[in-house]
Amino acid sequence: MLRESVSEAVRLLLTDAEVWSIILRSLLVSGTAVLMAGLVGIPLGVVIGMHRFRGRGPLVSVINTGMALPPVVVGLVVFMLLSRSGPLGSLGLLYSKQAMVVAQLVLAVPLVLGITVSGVSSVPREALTQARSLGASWLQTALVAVSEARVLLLVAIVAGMGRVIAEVGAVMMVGGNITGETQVMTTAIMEEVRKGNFAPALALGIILLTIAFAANGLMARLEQRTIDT
Amino acid sequence: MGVLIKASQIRHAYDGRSVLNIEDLEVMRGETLCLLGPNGAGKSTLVRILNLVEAPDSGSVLFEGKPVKPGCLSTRRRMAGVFQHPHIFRGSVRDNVAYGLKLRRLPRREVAALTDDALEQLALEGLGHRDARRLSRGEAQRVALARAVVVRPEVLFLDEPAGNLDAAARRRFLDDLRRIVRRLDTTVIHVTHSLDEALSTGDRIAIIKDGAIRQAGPARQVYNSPADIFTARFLGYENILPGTVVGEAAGGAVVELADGGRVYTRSRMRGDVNVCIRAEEVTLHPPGEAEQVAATANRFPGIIWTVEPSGSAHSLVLDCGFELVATATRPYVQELGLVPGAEVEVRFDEAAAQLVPARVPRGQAGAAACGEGETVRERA
Repeated sequence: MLRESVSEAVRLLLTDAEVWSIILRSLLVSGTAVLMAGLVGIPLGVVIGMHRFRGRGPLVSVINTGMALPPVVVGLVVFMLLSRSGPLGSLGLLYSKQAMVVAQLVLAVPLVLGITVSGVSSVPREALTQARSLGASWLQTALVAVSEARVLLLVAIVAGMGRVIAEVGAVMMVGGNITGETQVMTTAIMEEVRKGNFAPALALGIILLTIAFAANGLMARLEQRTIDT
Repeated sequence: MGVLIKASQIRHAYDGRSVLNIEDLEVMRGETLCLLGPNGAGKSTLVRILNLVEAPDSGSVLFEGKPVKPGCLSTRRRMAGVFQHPHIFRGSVRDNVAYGLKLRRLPRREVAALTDDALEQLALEGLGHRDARRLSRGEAQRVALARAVVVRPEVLFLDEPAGNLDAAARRRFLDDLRRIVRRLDTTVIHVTHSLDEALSTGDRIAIIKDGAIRQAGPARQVYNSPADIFTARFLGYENILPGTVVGEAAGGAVVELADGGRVYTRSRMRGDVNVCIRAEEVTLHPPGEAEQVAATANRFPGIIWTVEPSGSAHSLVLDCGFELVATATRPYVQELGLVPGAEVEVRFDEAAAQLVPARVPRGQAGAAACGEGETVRERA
């Protein structure tokens, strides 16, 4: 059965438009979420990483805890916010791609933020002192911090992508796994397996694995570069 | 001239530990002020505060008589700093040198011209396109100096810029530095723990210890008249002899040493004192040598204890009733037959005997030993 499934999976990947529409939807939803998480998490992380202020320690602890948020809990909270009787129910976003983006954003932000904070915190103080001494404004100093920590910022984005694209609980809950609408790779795999259709599940699984493998490989290489420089 | 920077009542602490307590420090326009002190004295923190890179816990910095807010960008852009461990930015040597100009958003052509000039000044033309992170320490420090002077700062901060270099690179760097400072005609605040460096570059010297300024003044004056026993040790006075002023002769105090012997001075100090004499001010003569013109009243028969060769000069320890360190050139040592046990006459001028109060000001006792260590290392 396994051999048949694999060859069928390969055939689907080569020919089936439905499978590819699921893959692209997955990439679109998760990509949007991670992009937005980067736009929020990186600037905020740079600010927190560069400065020493009262309450910084507890704040960093909260962020680090957020890195391990259980997706189903995030899904539940976003569901309650967006459900018709919830505070944001009037937006009518439940069971939409936007809802999935929101849920994945909530999952990705702490990860991007946490890695950015630790990356920027580890930039040598001398770098910032030197930049300021040569006349760098606050923003120009922050750019030095970003430049010094750039590899870890990329790691933050890659890690965020790796987390949300493989996540199933939150998107299932707020997206509803509607075929052709909000079905993404992880939710599609669950459904196909439940129906006993292993071939399409395997085809999607191969893509997910490939993405995870590529992301991890990229992260490993990036981290190696941080060590080298 | 006139006061360019004035710092007053500067207090700063790290993790509750006080590192800086500056009552008053003035930097004159165009001068080179050396901040001299042992490691951990707070010199670097003071530089970061004056450079407006770090805000003090309390106190004020005045620039041209006007108080500046911590971090004030327009004032900060009239300054630049070179630090002991220069942080080289990613990119080429040229990128690093042009950095400060780009921060100021100067026109591209001007950036190029000024960068070329700075590279040439420091003999870095050939390295312009090299990866700046793959330079030797000496080269990196020259890049750090080039990128600081390229912005034509009105105040140049140098925080032990030669502290991390080997002897050859250090000499070259200090030569470059002197030449460039002369050409730039800028105010320089130079932190060092090397007395030689301070004397060769500084117009004025401020000696810092435990975050406070212990003595400040024109370089030669500080060198020749220590304020207390710590600065005396730090300034390289090998002989520090406790005693009491017992009278006056020819307008100067006469000191009865604790170990016996009377020293004539030009000082007007009274009470318990320490007599400070540099080893090189002590001269050795054959016993019974004919009296010279303008001879000093400070003449003691002595017996040589030890003769220690060190470089071109020998260091001798003598017993004159009290212990005294003297230096003599190698030929002189041979000519006079200065060997352990030999009898000599020891002389030093009244003006060479500086007095400092015997009482060590609060919190200074442990520090003196540390200062001595520094001095010994620098002179070695």
